[in-house]
Amino acid sequence: MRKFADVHLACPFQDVGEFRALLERARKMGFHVVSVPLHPGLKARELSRLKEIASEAGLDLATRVDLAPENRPMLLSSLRRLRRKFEFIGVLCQNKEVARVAARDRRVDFLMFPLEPKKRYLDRSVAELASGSNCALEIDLMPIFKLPLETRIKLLARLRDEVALAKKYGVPVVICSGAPEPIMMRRPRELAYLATILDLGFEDALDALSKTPLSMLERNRAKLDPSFVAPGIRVVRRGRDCP
Amino acid sequence: MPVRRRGKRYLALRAEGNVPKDGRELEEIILKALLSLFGQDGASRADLKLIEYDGEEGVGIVRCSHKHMGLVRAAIASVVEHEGRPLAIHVVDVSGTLKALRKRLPSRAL
Repeated sequence: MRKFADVHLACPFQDVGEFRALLERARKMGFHVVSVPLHPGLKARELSRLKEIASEAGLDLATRVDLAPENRPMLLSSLRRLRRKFEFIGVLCQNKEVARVAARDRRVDFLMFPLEPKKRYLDRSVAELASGSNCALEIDLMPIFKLPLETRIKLLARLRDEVALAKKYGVPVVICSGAPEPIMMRRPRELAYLATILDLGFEDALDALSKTPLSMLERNRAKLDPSFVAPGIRVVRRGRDCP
Repeated sequence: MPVRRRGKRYLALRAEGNVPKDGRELEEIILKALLSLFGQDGASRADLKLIEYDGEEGVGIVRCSHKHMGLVRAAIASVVEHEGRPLAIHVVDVSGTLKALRKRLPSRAL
């Protein structure tokens, strides 16, 4: 059976109760892994408490932080500070400079773009850079349907081009709800059917909701493990008897 | 010459939020979403028909073409509001026959 992940639940929550209700709803909808953008200043103890709450609700919480840097130095300093703390890092690219730097950097997991069609900077060069660094293109589906008709039409056309570009250059695509409120959450298969309007095949859409984000999570968790040295190398045992 | 029967799919739906009052309203909402996403061509291919709807519970069943079920499910998922207030329609189950769907329905809930 497929395991599904919604790696961008954008619903804000005020307290633990609201957070728990959100997770329970995601679980009932058929998700196994969810990720909610968290405050970068959260302490490790608070993060592990949130993970505990999620596991009580029967879910696996992937910690995530979203960055919206204005320029290259801001992005690089945030990545240096936060990469070892969070399992996923998404970068909202608000200009070309940030898009290029983020696409090239292996520490970035998701490239996000504003919902304005003219401010989406995924072009051939960015796609080529992203394919080399295993950075995924994140598409939040639900906010699109809140936009005025004209913007929505233009954005859907733009997203189709982006998906085609991502396919051509081998950039992984990750589909998520991006739901700003609980009522906008959708079941995984509903999201997959919705993603087919972006010229993504149904099976590819299911992969974008399961295989792709889950393999990224597995890779990132392995990297954050204290025993990780380099890809394919990890400390198995420490001691004097080790040559 | 025999005419080939067109395959159908029955979708069990559950609405939440600003729930439509009657079946006609629900059908209109889905049809509007279909038209908005796929135009008249898509809407005609989908062959949508409301079977039943309980306005108090917000649950209902619609029938559509088996071949174009994807269009209907995408359209249903794209519904986010009705009369300016939030609305979500979830597909809770799908079946090829109404009998099987009704049999399974009580055990399936959001």
